[in-house]
Amino acid sequence: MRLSSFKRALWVYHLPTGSCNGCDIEIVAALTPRYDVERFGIMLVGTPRHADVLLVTGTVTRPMADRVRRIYEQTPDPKAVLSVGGCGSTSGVFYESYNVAGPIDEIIPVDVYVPGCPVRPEAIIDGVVKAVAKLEGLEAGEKA
Amino acid sequence: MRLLTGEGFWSPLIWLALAAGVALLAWALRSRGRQDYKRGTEQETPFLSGEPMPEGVHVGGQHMYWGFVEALRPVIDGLRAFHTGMVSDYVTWLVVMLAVVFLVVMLS
Repeated sequence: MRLSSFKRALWVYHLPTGSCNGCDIEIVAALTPRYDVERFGIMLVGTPRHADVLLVTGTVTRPMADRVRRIYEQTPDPKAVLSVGGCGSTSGVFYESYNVAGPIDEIIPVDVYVPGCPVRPEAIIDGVVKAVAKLEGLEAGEKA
Repeated sequence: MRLLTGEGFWSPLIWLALAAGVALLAWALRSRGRQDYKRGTEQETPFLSGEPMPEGVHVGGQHMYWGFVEALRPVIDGLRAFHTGMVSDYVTWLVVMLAVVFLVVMLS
């Protein structure tokens, strides 16, 4: 899938659930002039109520589990969830830690996994493009 | 249906037409909002960083200008000092301000 196939802007809500901030910094790097994802219409928004994609970083700590579920439910449909980083995908070095509720897909359904510790901005952009493909498929299915 | 005044005119028909135009514009803007949320779910509740919506919590009117009050705290405290609650003080201020206005008018 090429980026030129974007049909509309994609609004992303960044949800850190217990990240060390390594992945969060790489998300910021994707917004800087070197990568500049906003030129494709990909932009971060301040509320899940406006979001098409939830970009979740970090393993889910126990106090965050309910918040993650609530934020997922508050996001309008159709939506896609991006798990960014090794911690979000597998809990990483925090696997079975006493204060970890689990990787993100044990709390909410995940559509795209972007592994890495931390992930590179190119990988985040690739994950978002895959989320776009999923959303376009969902919308096409809803219209059919 | 037109009242002429020294400053212009007043026409209820023009006022109604303007009000209808504003209502139409508001409706047009509102109809461009997202329609794809599910009623009766969390998608209708306010976003409070994932926190549950507390019962009986409202944003009070005083919260709207809290920042102004804090920023202008010295001025507001000074103005409050004038409010003694005594009628004679307020009448004194009235007389003083009338004298000031009178002087300004006379000098101009």
